[in-house]
Amino acid sequence: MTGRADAMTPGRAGPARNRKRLLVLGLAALLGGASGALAGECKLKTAGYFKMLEAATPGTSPLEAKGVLRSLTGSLGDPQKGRLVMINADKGNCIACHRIAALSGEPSHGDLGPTLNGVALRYTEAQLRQLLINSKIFFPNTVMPGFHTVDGLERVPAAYAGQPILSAAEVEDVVAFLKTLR
Amino acid sequence: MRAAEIGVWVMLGLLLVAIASAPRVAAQERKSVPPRDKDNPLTELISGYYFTPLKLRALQDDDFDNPGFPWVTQGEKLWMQIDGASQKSCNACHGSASESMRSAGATYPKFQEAARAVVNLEQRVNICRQDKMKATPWPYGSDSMLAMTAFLKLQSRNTPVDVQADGPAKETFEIGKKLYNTRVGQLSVSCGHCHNDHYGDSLRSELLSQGHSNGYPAYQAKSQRFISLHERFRNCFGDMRAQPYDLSSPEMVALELYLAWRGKGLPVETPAVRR
Repeated sequence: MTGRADAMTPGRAGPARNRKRLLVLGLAALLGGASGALAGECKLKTAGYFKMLEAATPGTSPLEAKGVLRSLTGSLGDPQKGRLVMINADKGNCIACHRIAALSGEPSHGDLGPTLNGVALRYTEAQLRQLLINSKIFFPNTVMPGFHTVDGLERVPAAYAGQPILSAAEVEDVVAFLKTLR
Repeated sequence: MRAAEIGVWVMLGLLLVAIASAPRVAAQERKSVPPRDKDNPLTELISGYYFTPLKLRALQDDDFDNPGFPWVTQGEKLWMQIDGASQKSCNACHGSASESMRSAGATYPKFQEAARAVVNLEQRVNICRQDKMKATPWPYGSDSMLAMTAFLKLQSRNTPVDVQADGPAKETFEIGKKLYNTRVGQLSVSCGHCHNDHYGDSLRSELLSQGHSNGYPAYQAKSQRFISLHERFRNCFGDMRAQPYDLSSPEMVALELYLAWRGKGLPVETPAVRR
């Protein structure tokens, strides 16, 4: 075997190729680390995490809010999964209170809240995300649950203690679906 | 004017008269009474009857069709039944329930001197059973207790709920009021959010009522059971993913007092039929 670098020979490469590989590995590590820092699932179930998401001036209009700009998972949600979360009575159960024409396949939408038809034209993605996380920031007397918060919850049974109704991934999936409501 | 023209005007006139005199569709006609206290969070009081589908109202309106009535009949039997070491029936001391128990169903929960606490009707029955009849108390929610309270409350049927929330009952009332307005559970919703702010709105296909207690114990159509008020409270806590209070606990009695006060003036409807 000669030491010559050859594209067809695995594992045998010159210093240039090795440098490239190192660079790619380094970049991957960086990206991985960054997305890990943003992922809400395993690490960040601390009060600080939920507090950070709720940062807003209470009582202001959601239309004026910056919202929560970054995806909670670091990636785009899946609108098809979001649709399932919204019609699942054990998850978002959104049609319990909101009429959504895009989900008209499901019967009997409730009317406690405003219709979500065209909601993506009214709010930015960041505002939608924040409304979903905990709309009490904007509407202190709302009947709407906070879907990604554990703040100020009382008498939560053990089965649900310390957990928000929707996971970070589910929030992103719902946001992705809401963005299609134009 | 030509005949045809006159004819057209006559037709239009007749049409107008027909529309004006046609019976109005009573789609959402809900009878309301004004609240008796100015600090009542509601501005109009509407019984759960008017949030119940018509077919279920028809069951409530006919004692022979009312699925809760067998408990009333059983209660009537228990009233006459000798029980306990004292060998007495309720009738032995109280005589005819329709006389002696006329207002019990409308005025409980109330503060009782001997217990030095606000007691509901179930607890008052047990105080009598234990102290006077020397009989074993009936558990809250048991068939015997459901039967007795249904029978007793029937004696007040169609009379207005009239509890006292002041004086010695005030402390319990305040606790009940606080509980009613406290967000609970993973969903973090209070009773008032739905029943003060959103009665008449639909949660999926569930029409939200004002959440009054005037019909309890009541037949619940969706579970096909005759249920007590505290059990109904527990259903609601469960829906909010909240830890419920125990049946007949001080918190439940406080809530019961607050609810009765909030519905003062509504007619007692026990045994009601609800969804």
